[in-house]
Amino acid sequence: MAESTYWNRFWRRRISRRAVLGAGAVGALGAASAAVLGCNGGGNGNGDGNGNGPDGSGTPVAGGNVTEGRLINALGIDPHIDLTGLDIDVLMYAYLYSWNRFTEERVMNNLATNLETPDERTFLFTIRPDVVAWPKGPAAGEALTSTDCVESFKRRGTAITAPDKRFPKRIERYETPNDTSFNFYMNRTFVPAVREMANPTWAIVPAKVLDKYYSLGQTAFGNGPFMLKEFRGSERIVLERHPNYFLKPRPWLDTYTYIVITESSSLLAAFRGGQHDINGAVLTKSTAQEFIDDAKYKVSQAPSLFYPVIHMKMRDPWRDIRVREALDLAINRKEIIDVIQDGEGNYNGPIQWPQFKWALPQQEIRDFYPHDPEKAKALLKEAGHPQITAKVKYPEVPGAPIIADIVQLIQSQLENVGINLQPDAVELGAFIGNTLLPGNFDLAFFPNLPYDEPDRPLSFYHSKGVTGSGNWTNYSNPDLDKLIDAQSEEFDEAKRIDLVQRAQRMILPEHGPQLTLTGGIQYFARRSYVNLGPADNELETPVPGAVYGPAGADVWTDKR
Amino acid sequence: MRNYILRRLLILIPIMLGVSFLTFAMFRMIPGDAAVLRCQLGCTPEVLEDLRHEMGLDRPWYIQYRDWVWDITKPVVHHIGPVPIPGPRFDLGHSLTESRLPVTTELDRRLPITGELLVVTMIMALLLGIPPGVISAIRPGTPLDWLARVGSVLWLSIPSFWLGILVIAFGVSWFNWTPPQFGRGYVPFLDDPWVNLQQFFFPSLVLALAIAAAIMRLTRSSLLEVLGNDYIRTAWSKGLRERTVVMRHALKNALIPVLTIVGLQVGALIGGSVIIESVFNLNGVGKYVLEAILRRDFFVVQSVVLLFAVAFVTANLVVDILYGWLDPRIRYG
Repeated sequence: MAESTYWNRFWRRRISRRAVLGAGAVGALGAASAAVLGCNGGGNGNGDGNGNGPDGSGTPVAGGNVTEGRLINALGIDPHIDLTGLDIDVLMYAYLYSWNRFTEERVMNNLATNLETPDERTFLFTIRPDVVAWPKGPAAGEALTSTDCVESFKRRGTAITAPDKRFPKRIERYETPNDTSFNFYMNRTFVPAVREMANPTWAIVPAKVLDKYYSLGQTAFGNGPFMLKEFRGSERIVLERHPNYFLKPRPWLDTYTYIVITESSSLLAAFRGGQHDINGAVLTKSTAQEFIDDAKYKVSQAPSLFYPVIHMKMRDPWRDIRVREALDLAINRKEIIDVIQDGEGNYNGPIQWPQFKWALPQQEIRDFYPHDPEKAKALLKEAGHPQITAKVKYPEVPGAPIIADIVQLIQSQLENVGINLQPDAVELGAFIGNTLLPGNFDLAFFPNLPYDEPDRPLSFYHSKGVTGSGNWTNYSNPDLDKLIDAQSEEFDEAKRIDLVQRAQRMILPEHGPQLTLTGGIQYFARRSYVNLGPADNELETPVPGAVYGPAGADVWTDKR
Repeated sequence: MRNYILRRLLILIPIMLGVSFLTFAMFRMIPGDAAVLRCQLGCTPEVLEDLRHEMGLDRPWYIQYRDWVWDITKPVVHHIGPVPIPGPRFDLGHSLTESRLPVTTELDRRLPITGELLVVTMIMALLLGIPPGVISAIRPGTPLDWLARVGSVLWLSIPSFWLGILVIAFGVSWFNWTPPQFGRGYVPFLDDPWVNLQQFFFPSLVLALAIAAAIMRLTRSSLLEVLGNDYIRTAWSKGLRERTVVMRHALKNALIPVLTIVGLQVGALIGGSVIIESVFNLNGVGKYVLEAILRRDFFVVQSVVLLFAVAFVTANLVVDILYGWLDPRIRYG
């Protein structure tokens, strides 16, 4: 450690008096300015990104470091509790299995080798005997057992801040016949559990670690491909290779580093300047184009699961279905795709379009959402509201000006039919606490979170609200409630798809209480020498049957 | 003088109480709290209540305030080596976010960054403000004077955060350069002075320009006024050199109002650092408090505002003391 300091290097060198005087002159403003710009120094040695390596189609090579620029602080890395560090958690912990979001199927490439479900409430896992903890900490080098699975499930299920506890609440009992058999039994069927167990919050942590550490927010003792070396969540996180990872010789990298830059334009500038190998923020097509056109970079794309929505309070005038339909007809979704999403994207129904298995066919959605201002005007007139003035509240999210952009576009579209929207930007904390949760709005616009399971998006239309958190909109439809409840308990996939689509077809003609708009494509850029592994697919469009390994294990770089 | 300083330090106590109470009260008037923000949308009312209880936010406001003040002021014995030293506990509480980190721990890490930013900025502001002000005053109406005045208006008009973004954007576009902290985080001066100076040069420059402009304008007008005084005319008539007249006789007196503005600019500097630290990714106290406000992290905001208040009052106390050095006629009874 001491060898790398500036002073050690300084004193080892023979330094002339002139050099010392020269160094003193560094303080001169003009000289410093020129030198700072000229030296391109201070980087982390990740180079100039001149594309001097293969294009990613080669054989993985071991070693090296990859640095990822990150837009949000990692406030904590307790996988069961904290949400801001989940992308780091998945590199440090083992999970029962992985999830392929494109085929929407589980991939048994992690701790569990097999899952049997003799009935809808019984889950019998066989787990690998060779997934061992890092060679440090309370369980150093020990293999994960079924007991570790039980303790992790219990902890995840009872943590106050853990999101969505419906699944753990339905677990009736656990069984551990031996170290490699982990079974649990539920008192009521809950199909979304299958997806949920592959979520980053369901990490399997050694029981000995959980015994010793009440909180794992600022430290970690895991069993995943990387070990925590340094954690400064608002600045820099360094992970190093787990030498005994069960998928040897993976992970390929020696270290994986995150640098946190919370200002989005600064983050992008740092990536352009060669400070990071992976730009951790989502790019729009127009921003990504410069990287697409440059051989020094690779750009991947994926359909965005973030979906903008408008919520309506079920009171006058929105209680009247004709007014809601008029609002729907006045919105020009194609224009939103063209203007906001650079011409790429699709219409969203109640389930967003990239959930291919569950969403309604795109043509059906497009047919259902014609842009017809004349009919909208007629409906408003018929409902006795030829002119409506309504405040639309939306959250001010730092680094996300796109929210205000969409609101302004919708405002101009609605103006044409006599709906005068008054945008009201509300600070994010106040928006959640004072606007959305207490239902304190007439219209509320916000970008909804990405869900890759149909249960959550549908629950916005349930009278109990999102995961039972309360009905913000006062909308209630008992028939719809039954369908939403039924799909969450239907284990047969074909039948569940049918229930989910029937629910959506019931929602669409209601034109509320949540209007979905469109979903675009998101882009990710990285230096060309960074390879994401054998499953790396440049377009990242759905590839049936593609196998995605445990996160991070397959990343490699040929930059030395 | 000693009594004066003591009195000023004692005044700090009611100021700190007032500032902390106002911050506490105003922050609780803002809708939303840390529990809501941690829970997000899928939070049931029961979970929200549990979380508020865990965070201590379900207690009456005056109890919360009293406990926070008591944790700071509670007398304890600190041990510095073998020496026991009695004093207040200085426990500023802990973050209400997922990190749960004690505020003092974070401040230990972040204060040196903000401290260095403020010191370097103030040095730059003085270097960029006083010499042009002097030149402008002693050469009024010349192109140099015109240049300095136009420049000062320009720097006062440009928002520092915008200038900061421009610096970064042009650095990347023209020189493929970004500040070193974008790639490796903060490097302390003692670890690597050269990298450290690169980290602080542009943020400080961006912050310093507006302050330098204000200092320049005030130096100019103040010096112009002093240069018209009888004693300066006497100095000229004695045949003294221009440098002696200006530097020894005029400038010292002209700097008294400048010093006042420097003291007051500490407040602006602290405010500016909040944004500039974010733009330049310096993990200082300013960035910390900005993020804490967005996350409704009460204890962090209260503590940092308190700290800023102390810094502001102390800086102005130093200015008051310097008055006596600049003008021996000024005495504090």
